[in-house]
Amino acid sequence: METTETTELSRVLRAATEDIEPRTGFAPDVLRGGRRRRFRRRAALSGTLAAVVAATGISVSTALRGDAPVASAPSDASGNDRSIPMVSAATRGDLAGDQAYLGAAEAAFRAGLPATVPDAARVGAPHVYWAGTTPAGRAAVVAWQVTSSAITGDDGARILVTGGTNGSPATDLKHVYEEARGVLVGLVLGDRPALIGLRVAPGGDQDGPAFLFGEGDRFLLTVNTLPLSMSTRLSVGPDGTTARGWTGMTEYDGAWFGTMGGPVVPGDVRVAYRPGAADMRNIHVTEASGPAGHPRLQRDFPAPALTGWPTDDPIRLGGSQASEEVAGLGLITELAQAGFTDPIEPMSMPGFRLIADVPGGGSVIAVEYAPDFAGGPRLYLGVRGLGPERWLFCGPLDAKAVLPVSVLLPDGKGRLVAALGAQLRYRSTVDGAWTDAGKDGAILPATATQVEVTEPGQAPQMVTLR
Amino acid sequence: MSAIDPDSEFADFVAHRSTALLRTAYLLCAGDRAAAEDLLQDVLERVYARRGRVRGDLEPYVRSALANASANRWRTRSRRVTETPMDAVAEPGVGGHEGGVVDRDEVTRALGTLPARMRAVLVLRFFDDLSEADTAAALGISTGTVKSQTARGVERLRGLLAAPDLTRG
Repeated sequence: METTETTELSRVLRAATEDIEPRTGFAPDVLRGGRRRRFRRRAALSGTLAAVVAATGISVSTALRGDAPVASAPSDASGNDRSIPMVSAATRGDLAGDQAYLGAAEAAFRAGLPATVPDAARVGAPHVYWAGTTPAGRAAVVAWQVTSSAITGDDGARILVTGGTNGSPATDLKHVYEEARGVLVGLVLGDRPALIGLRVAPGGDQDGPAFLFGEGDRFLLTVNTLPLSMSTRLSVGPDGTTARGWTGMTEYDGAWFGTMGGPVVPGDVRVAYRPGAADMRNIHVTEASGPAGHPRLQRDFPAPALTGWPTDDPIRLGGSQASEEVAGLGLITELAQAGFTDPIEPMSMPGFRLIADVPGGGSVIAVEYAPDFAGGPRLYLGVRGLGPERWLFCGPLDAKAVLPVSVLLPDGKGRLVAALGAQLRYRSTVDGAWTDAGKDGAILPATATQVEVTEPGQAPQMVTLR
Repeated sequence: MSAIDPDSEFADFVAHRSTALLRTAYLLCAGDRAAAEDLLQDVLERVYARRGRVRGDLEPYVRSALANASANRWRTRSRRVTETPMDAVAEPGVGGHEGGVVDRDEVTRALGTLPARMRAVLVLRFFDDLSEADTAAALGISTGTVKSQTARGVERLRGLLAAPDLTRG
């Protein structure tokens, strides 16, 4: 891309907006709307808490954090922000009065903290938010407020805290722009407590992370004032639509605990308040290590394994210039609208995208996407200009197949086939002549019955189409 | 010394920066003026409620929120009927230099053909002058994706707009 070209683009964009001005009264409207929203939000929060207290008898001893600026937030004797319950609320749990255990839990938390969280970023002192006896043994949730102000990344971006997968720091920097403060929340486990999991709760929200821990990731523990449910897997129906089943978690005086009924794939576990309801809240699940291991810091699950075909740019067959999206809404949004993604915290990254124009008009986009970890990648087909714009489920994707992509298009408009890097030929009768279909992929006539796939340096392989 | 009134500080920000932000929103909404005002008002109202948590300059935060909100505004967009205000019809072209004129409608129409995320990348890079790294951070994508989306977006615009205008130095 030439500099002169982009300079000209900047000029054109500016010229296109030079007489755009807000309507009269726009600023007062924004302030009125903002105040109204804040009032509604606070009213909604108060209403929710009142309902919880009424329904469960749970005492909520501290107010949820408001919108007060950091500088004006009152602090307690430890220097902890009183507006953040996670670092200031009275300790709950059946071990709340066991000062020896609380002290040991705090010491374990301090000892387990990574050096990548600099002293300058820590505010006040660690606080044991909850300590109790669970089916997995004695445990505590300890929190420590941190600020991002002291940490700046190479590109000038603020970084709240660093932490890599599997406890290796500094490999997975987390840029946090939205929140000026956060709370490190750690899970401490055992009679001789050790920190086994740690995560940042952005902004000190009242929702701490849900820790998945123990041998085989059998246990789930989180702290919350709201009743929570857990879901251990995503089910994908024959038509590709997804659903989750939910089980209520057990409360231990402010902490919610769950035991898996069998093996789980950690990345597919979800925790939520009122799943499916309009006021649903998703609680982020983080995987902690076993007691003997190092704490897992800011543990995110790696993306599900995909075929390995290029994902940065779409693969355009025959030089197609068609869009990557069917309705211009973004791939994941469109897949979500079609019911193909996880209803809770869906995977955000598609795999390869294969775009082709359909002879006679219209175009298709085949997208690799893994809605969950357990089921692996699946293939979805977006259809444009062939009747209504829509997404179709094409089933699991087998990257090791000779011809990984072979999809009949709607209304007999042809068949999309692809094997990246391979030369393709097809024929429509068993003993007919082969017709060249080019490299990587093509749309074949719907009548094609066989495809010959020739990988570089390999003998041709024949695939019978079904 | 009087305490700073957060409301008046925010009101000041809105009063002074709304024009610039609306122009960004206008491009993000591909020339839909009403949608741009709705989008900006919605984002600013949300930011008002969260402003205590925003450290540093508010403007980059708002621009990032605008770009992301525009890329995710399918819920409202799917119900919105695209309107062309009467006063937008037959507007004079913009540019007007000797090499040719790129009509405003032509520019916004061209932007409108791009996927929302790609459009946001181009607006942040070339209208708001963000670096690749800042654009990536604002949109929550990798710099590699910013590069590829930029290259493809410019390529698409080159094909959609009169070629001499975009390649003119």
